Order: sequence, then C-alpha cells, then structure tokens
Amino acid sequence: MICEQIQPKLYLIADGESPKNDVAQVETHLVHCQECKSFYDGLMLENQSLSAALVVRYLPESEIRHLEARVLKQIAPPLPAVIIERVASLLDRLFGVVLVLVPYSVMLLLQVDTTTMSEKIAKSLGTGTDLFNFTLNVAVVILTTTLMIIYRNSVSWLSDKIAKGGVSSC
Amino acid sequence: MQVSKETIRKFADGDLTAFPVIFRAAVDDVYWLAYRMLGSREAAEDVVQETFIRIYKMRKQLDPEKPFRSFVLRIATNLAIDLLRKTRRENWVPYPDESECGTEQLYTVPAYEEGTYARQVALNQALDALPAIYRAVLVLKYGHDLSYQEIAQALDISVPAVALRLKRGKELLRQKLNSTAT
Repeated sequence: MICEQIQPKLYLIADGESPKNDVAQVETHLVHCQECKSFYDGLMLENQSLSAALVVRYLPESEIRHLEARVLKQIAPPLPAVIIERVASLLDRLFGVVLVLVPYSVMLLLQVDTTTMSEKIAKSLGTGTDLFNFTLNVAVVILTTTLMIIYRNSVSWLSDKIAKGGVSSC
Repeated sequence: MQVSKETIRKFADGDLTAFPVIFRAAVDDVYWLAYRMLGSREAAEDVVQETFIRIYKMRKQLDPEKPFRSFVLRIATNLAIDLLRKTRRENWVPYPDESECGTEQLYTVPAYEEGTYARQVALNQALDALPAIYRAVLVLKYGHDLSYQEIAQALDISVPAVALRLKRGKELLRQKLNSTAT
C-alpha cells in the first residue's frame, strides 16, 4: 500500500472510526514507513490538542441557575395566568354541584321572599297567583340553566386561551 | 449528557417536572458548543435559551429510543450557525477544491507542540477563524466526543461528508497555525 492511500485512512484511525481490517493493514505499513508514522503521531497530537482546547467544562451552579431562570421565564406562563387557570379548574370541577344547587336555591329564595310580592304582581297583571308562580319557576330554571351553559363555555374558553398563550412565541 | 429514556418519555407525555432534569443534563453541552461556535458568552446564552425553548415546544415529537444528545446538539448547532450568518455575515463559500490540498501538505508536521500557553491561544484563535461548517464538526468531534455517525445525524449530512469536513478543517487549522508561527 502506498503512502497516498494510507493518508486518508490515518485520519479515520486517529479518530477511532476505521474498520479493523484497515487498522491492521495500516499498522503494518507504519512499521516500515517513518514518514507515515510521524504523520500519524502528528495527527494524534493534533487530536489531543483539539480535545484539550474544545473540552466541555461544567458550568458553575450560579450560571446554570441564571440560564434556567431565563428559559423558564420564557416557557412558563406568567403568575396571573397560573392563578386564573387554577381558579377556572376548581370552578370547572365544581360545575356539577353548582348546576344542581344554584337553580333550586334561587327558586327557593324567590318563593320565600316573593310570596307576598308575587301575589301583588299577579293581581296587578290580572292573572292567578299559581299561574304566576309556575311561570316564574319555569323562567328561573331556564335563566339559570342558560347562565350555567354560558359559564361552562366561558371556563372552557378561558382554559383554552391560557393553554395556547402559556408558551411565549419567541 | 445522560438523560434516561423514562425521563424523555415523561417529558414527551407532557410531564413538565422532567424539564429541569433535561435542562441540567444538557446545558453544559449546549452552552460550550454555542460558545465555541460564536465566541461570546452573551451569544452562547441566547443559543441556550432558544435551544431549550425549541426542545420544550417539540417535546411531543421526542422519541426516547432515538439519541437525545444528537437531537439537542443538532438544534443548538443549527441555531449557532443561523446566528453566525445573521451577525457575522460569514462568507459561506466552501473550502477550495480538494485538488488544491496538494500532497506537499501531507507530510507537513502539524503545528502542535506539547501545549505551551501561547500555542493554546493560537489554536483557539485559529479555531475561531475557521468557517463555521468546519468549526462545527471539529467542536462536535473533539469537544463533545461524538462519533462520525452522531455528527452526521446532528448536522444532517452524510458520514463521508463529516470525514471530509474534519480533514479539511484540520488542514485549514494547520495553515493558519503555520502562518502565525512564521
């Protein structure tokens, strides 16, 4: 094997990237060729120098914290958004309870507080008190259910908004 | 950079408690790669920040079975090269034809001696003066100890292209060191 064929292989061998067959062939050549041997030794020294110059050092803890804070500031949602998200999540979990309790509570309160008032209103409208109370109850149920649906959709919308806006677009 | 497959899987599944573990495992590699490529602390910090933001955004695409280190270093290298293009407006004309690397260089003793401080400084200056595509392969090979295969994955080039860039990069380094020595 001539020296010009050996040279490209020396780069690979010095980098530990050459097949074993090539290594054996080249080693045989190096025993007899002083020029190639000194070139190979030079390559090894060159690699050592490069490794020493380019070595990855450990960063100081203060620098790591500084960099971590910079990154987290960009990827973590700001505090108000976190609080809103938690409140929205809590309200969302309580939705079932609220849906059942609120309409009946409102109806009970209205019935207790407005018995006399509803009689007066029914009289002034010229309708019967029972019919007025029935209409009122139906209206309260429809109104509270509508409010609950709006509320539920608002919570979902708010959660989506926070989730999408959580990551800063850098 | 040691990150367990389990940590990567957790992170990919949306468990953000895994993020600081990944950050701390990879930050040294990313910082020094960027520093060697860009030569400034501020620029290296910018690359660290942008690299981890990208990793965070791409977390669902992470595959625990694929080498995480190559994935991270690929992002960091590309960001560093992009930043170099923007800031230094480097001349991206490739190294002259291989025919110009005559055999007279073949047996020139490389310009490295048992490390004197001056030699080390000269080596760093010569590295900084290399075109980015050669500096990148040298940094990944000798700084981060990546195999040719891993460098090829990181830079999205073939393994023979890695070998060629390393060889040409070293030849350029020798030229620069020999010219400063004379």
